[in-house]
Amino acid sequence: MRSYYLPAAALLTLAASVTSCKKDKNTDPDVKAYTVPTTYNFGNANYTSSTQRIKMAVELDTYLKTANTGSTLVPLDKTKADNLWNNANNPYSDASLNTSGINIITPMANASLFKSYVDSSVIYNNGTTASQGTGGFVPRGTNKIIVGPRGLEYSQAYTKGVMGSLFFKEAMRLLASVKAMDPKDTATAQAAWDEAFGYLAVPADYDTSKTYTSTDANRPLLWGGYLAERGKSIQAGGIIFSAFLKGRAAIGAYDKTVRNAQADTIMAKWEQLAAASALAYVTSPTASSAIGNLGTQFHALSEGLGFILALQYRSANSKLSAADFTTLNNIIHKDFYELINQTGFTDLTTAQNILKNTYGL
Amino acid sequence: MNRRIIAIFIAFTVLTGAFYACNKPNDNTTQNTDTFDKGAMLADYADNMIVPGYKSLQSELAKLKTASDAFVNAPSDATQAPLKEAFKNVYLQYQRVVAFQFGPAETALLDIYANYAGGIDYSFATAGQLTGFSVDTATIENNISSGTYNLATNSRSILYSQGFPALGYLYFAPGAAGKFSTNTAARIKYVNDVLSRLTTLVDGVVAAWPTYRADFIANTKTNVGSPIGNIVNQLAYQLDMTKGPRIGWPLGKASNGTTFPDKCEGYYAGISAALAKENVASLKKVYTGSTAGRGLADYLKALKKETLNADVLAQFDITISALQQINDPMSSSITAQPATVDAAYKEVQKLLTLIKTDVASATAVQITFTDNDGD
Repeated sequence: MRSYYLPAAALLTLAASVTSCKKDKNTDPDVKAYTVPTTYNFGNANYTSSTQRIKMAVELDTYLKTANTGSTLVPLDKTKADNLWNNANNPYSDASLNTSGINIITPMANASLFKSYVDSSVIYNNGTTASQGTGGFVPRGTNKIIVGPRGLEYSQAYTKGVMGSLFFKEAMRLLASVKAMDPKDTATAQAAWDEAFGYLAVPADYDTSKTYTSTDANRPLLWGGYLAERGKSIQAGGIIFSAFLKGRAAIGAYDKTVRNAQADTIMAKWEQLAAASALAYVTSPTASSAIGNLGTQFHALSEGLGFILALQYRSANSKLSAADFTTLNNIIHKDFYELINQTGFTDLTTAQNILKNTYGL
Repeated sequence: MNRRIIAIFIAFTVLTGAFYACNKPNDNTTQNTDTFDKGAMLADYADNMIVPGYKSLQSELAKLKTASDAFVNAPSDATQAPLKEAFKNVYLQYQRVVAFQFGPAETALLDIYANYAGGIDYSFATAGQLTGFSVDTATIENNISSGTYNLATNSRSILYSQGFPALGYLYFAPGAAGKFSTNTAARIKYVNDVLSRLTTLVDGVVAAWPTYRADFIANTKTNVGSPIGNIVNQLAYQLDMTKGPRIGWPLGKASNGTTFPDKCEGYYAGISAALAKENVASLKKVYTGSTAGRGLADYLKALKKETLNADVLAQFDITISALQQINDPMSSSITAQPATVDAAYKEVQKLLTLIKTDVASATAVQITFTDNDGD
């Protein structure tokens, strides 16, 4: 007779575990039943300002890159770049951005640095052939990149830098702030959560198995694009998107435990994505297929600089020590001509090892 | 008692199943459930192609050194002829291992120092003269006269002043023998420095393979940096090199028809067509593997890509015979029989597409050597 209890108990547990697929079990009596949707279609979701800032940053990036076309000078207008930076004088092709009343500067950390990168992109678009100590053009394929005297491609330093100092930094701040909120304060938490989600810049029905074309109006942008570009091997897209959905659902049900766990998941995975991107860009310039090809090497290092800068906004739980961050930061701020001409790529190898060992890459 | 254990077992199994059912699918590439033994394939590559290939390169380099010593100490037609034979043999052997530019060879950056081609994105049209299989003769002469140079530097001019291309210039350029009559010691020293650097690098690769071998055969994934990923990438990369620096660029494909015959690989020795043919023939061997049933070709069959495999094999043969039609020196054929060179170029292109697109996709390998991150 006794032995029949076991299958019965097993069935009960099974039933509970099946339920937990949909409804997260919680002992907190305040937690309401909830389901996690597969798209970010929450009734009151609003992340318009995030999306608008993403689009603004992309428009400035696109404008700066127009100078890269072909091997001869394509002029850049400093006023136009300033206007795109400030959202002044209706600069954007997307008119809704012009009347949005917001800009990219307000929430940005270290904005003066990134403005100087934008300015330098314009200044060194001068028709000169670049060499160590002299900014100008470096051929890259049939086009070119525009670099400063130390090989830094300022437009990439701007774009990737702003991905860190604006979008990643804000997402980390917002998610950490949600963790500290009272479970019943759902409106504030949802608004902050949505804003952070908007900075990921993926469509509400994001699908990791889909290949988004560059003409798809709904395509992931900036970090959203990097989920696939550099985050496939760490499943960044699936993990971060799922955690945003689950955490958002948990907020509405006062489920603080699940909410906070998802925030932690997103913060850790997003940071690992920044590290994986940085790793790719401090590694590719050392490959035999890239050596001697300054355009490829400097472009990659300039992107790497942006992603390493992003790591300074890492969460409090980050695995990266202050000392290792300083080492990475010092290396990527060296003269790029020096970095690519080092025998054995000592510095870049050091950077690779820190990123690999810290982030399990 | 027995029933109880069974009950626990069933409950556990059911629970485990339920737990797994809760897991959402992630964006991990689904692994093929084929039974093909990828580890055995990789062991075969390591033991029967890669390591023996580098060892042969070592012995060919030793023969080259003997012939080189004879020539530099008594430069004449009589010593130059056997030197050309030895040089051709070692350069052909290099083509047989060039697709193994990963692991120890990549750590040593062997290809950069042995046979620099300046990168496939860096064509004559955009980057001026010092591209493709150029030789920086000015820097070589300057190095000889100054006596100060560091061949381990990664600058383009130094990379273009060493390896097989530099040796080709020092041995076989017009008036090469006569140049040894001035600044003789310094010129001989430079030849020996270039040769000994090549030898040291190849020795290092041979020495590193036994240690690397365990990782190589154990990693049967096809992700970025995996052995299979590397082999497929290298097949495509070498075909891209043949489409570009080896044939296409000298033929004027990246410069609106303006030809650059002196940018052929092995230009001064006049063996460019032989090198190109050997390169592609070696790639076919890499593709098929050295033992029946243990090559990339067999892996494709195991993946149920028989048609693609047949297409690839056929295109290899067509391409190799098209390359065989080109007479050496190819630098002359570019002007004398441009249609023949162009025909081979077009076949290389087709083969490249099959490998870079179709084989890469069938094996779930991401092509990583192109600077194509879209921004």
